[in-house]
Parts: sequence; structure tokens; C-alpha cells
Amino acid sequence: MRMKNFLVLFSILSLLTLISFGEGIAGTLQDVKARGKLIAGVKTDFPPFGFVDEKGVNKGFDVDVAKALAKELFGKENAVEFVAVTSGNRIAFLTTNKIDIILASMTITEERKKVIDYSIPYFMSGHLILVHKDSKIGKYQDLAGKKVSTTQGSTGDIVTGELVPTAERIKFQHNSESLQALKDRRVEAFVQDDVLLLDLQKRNPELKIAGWPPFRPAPYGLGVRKGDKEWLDSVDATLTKMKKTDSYQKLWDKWFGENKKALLELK
Amino acid sequence: MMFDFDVIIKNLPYLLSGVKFTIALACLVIILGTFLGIILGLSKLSKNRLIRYPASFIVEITRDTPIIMQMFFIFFGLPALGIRLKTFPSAALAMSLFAAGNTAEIVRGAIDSLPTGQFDAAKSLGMNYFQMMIHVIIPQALRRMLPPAMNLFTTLIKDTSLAAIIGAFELTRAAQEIIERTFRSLEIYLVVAAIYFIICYPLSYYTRKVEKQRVTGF
Repeated sequence: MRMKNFLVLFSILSLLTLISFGEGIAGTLQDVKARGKLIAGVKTDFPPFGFVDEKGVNKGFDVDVAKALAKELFGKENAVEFVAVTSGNRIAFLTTNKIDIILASMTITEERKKVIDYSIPYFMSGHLILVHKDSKIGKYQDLAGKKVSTTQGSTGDIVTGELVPTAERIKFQHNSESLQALKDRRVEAFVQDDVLLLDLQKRNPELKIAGWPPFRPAPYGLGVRKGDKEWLDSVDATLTKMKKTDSYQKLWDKWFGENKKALLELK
Repeated sequence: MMFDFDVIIKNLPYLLSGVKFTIALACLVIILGTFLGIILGLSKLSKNRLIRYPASFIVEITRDTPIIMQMFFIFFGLPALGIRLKTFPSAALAMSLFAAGNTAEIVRGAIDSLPTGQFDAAKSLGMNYFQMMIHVIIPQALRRMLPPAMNLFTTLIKDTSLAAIIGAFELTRAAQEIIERTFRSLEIYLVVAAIYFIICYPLSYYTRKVEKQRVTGF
């Protein structure tokens, strides 16, 4: 699908999201309890937050947080159904009641706050730059006037546009494509979330990370339907409890432990 | 960057689980679309305005808007009116309507292209409308419909990949998930292309064979 089509789609989506405002909001908490399971929108193409393994099983940090929510609600962590969402369609899935909650590495932004409500932050993410080993690019200011690959709908794309307006952004649908563009030297740098780039650098020793420390930090939050206070409170209570006990730290270490020094801490 | 067969072997079962959706959707859409399309096509040829106008309206709407928009409208738009469909029914409904609209045009075109003498001959034998259609017109029109219909079917099979946008898990989506995990796009895309080819090629081959045959009456 070409970019133009995608833009059209995106605008239609936003419009439909607005239309769906008219829908009455039933209490999600009662719905979930009556159903006996949670329906969570997770990514299936964004390791280490949400991906599928070779057997097709959902895995990742977000997936584990969903299981923790289910455990809190029903006492068993498999009382959760995963629905695959993408950055482009996750909000529409939520507002049209197809899922109960978004757990899809979603940065909290003012713009999105107008449409949905966020839980307390559950992850702190920043942005980094991936470049070739021989690159002179050291900090984000060095991107001025250069070709940079970004992934559509990512905060990496937005942040690059804001911080370095002269950088020529080339947007791709998927991280794999943004990376390929850098490897083929069609662009000089790739800007994305720190976690992802650290992972990509490990797989590609000919590349290195620039832009330390992660710039423009932004917290991730879980998304719920606007005005559904009871459900939001219940989600927040679970997250708070996880942070108080060891369970949050355990999950964090499981998925991000090897990058402990590089990543930002969630305050 | 060596070619990695291992990635293909490891992930083939997962890809094939996506193929199931692709084939199920394609079959359903081709059957439903053909059935609806024939009804719509004949309605467009009707002398009765009350039948002809609504049929034309449906055909034009489905043919002149992108299939992806129709999917979006059904999946994300209808809930605003209180109609909630899950991914598979949404994709199937949207694509069937699209297929029906296009099939209707193929049916209408084929029947219109028959010489008027055929209609007059049938009437002079005292046949009513249905007898004329079943014994004289449709058998001849069918020959002319086959090639464009086959083209439409191959297009539909390839377009099932659009269902990924509304969250359907099909072949293209499965491939994308594997690529984002393994970063082996060349290998995975080659396999995906091969799978689509295996599904579509027999159809194209058959179409060419039919086209080569001289169109004669039954």
C-alpha cells in the first residue's frame, strides 16, 4: 500500500474515531467481568513490546502486562484474548469497542488524550539514532539537512520533524523497512524508540547508536475509552500494585535487563 | 547477508496458518460475489425502473470506491450505527460487495454484447423471459464472461491482503510479523510471493486456455 493511500486511510480513521464518540460508554469493567476475560489490543510486530513467536504465541513486555491485569481481575493470567493492532488502527479499535484496552507501546501525547484516556505511565522511552559505524553523526543536531528514515506513526518521526526541521525524513510502514533503507545507505540515519534501536544494533554489528542520552523522553501509557473512570481506576490500581511489589521490576528486567544502563528509568 | 533457508523452514507453519484465512476469504468472496453479481447484473438489464435504479446504484458505489474504503466503512464506520461485525465477516462482506459490483458489470456486458437476433429468436419460439435466459442467453454469455471473471478472481485473491489493515490475520500479515521479528525480508517475501503465485497461476492459465478457444454457440 502506498503512502498516499495510507494518509487517506488515516484521515478517514480519525474521522470515524470522532463519529464513534457518539457511542454510549458502558462500563468496561462490568463488561470484562461478565465476559470472564480481558480483550487486549497488542502489537504483533514490535519486539520486545509485542510480537509473535514461531508458534504464533503472543509474547513481549506489553503481553506480560496484559497477563498481569488478567491475573488481578480473574486470578488467572490466561483470562485474556489478544487482538493484533497497529500504530495506525489501535485507537479506532478501542473507540469502536473492539478491544477493552490498548497495550501497544503507546506514547502518551496531548493529541491522543483528546480521544482516549491514559493510565499512569508504565514505561519510560526516549529516542536514539541508528547510524553506520563510519558515520560522523553524534547527536540529533547533526541530522540537519541529512536523509533520515523513520517509521510512520512513530514518535521518532514526529520528534525528528520537531527537533530537526531541515532533516529530510523518509517514512516507511515498518521498522524492518526503515532499517533496510539505512543498511542500503539510502538514508544516513534511522530515528526510533531507544529499546528498538538497541535491539537492532545488537543484530547488526556494522551499525552503531548515536544521540546519547535518549532524547525527548516520553512515557508509555495504557489506553482506555474516554470517560470510563471506573475501568481506568482499576487499571491504575493494578499498575500501582505491580510497581510496589517486585512484579513490575521482574517484568522490566526480563525484557529490558540487558540494556539497563542505556534505558531511562520510570519515575 | 547470506540467504537463510532456516528462517523459511522455521516460520513456514506460521505463514501457512495465515494462508488459511486468505483462501477461506477468497473462496467465500468469489462464491458470494458471483451469486450476488449475477442477480445485480440481471437487475441492471431489467425494464423495471424500481429494480434497475437501485441495482445500478449499488454497482456504481461498489465499483467507484476503493475496496479498502469499503472495508473501513464496514469495520469502523458501522459500529457508529450500532452494527458491529468482527474482522472476518467485515472483510468478507466488503469484498463480496466489491466482487458483486464488478461481476454485475461483467454479466451485463456479456449479455449486452449478444446480437439482438438471439433475443428475437427466443421470443419467436414463444419462450418467456426465464426460458430465454436459461436456454439461449446465459449459455452464450457465460463464454464471454469467463475471461474477465477469472481476472477479477485473481485480483480478489491478491486483494485479500488488504484485510490485514482491519486486523485480519492472513498471509501478508503473517509475513510482516515474521519479518519484524527476524528482519529477513528477502526470504520471507519470496516465499509469500511464491504462495500467492501457486494460488493464482492455475486460474490465469485456465483463463488463457478458455480465451484461446473460439467462442462458438453451444
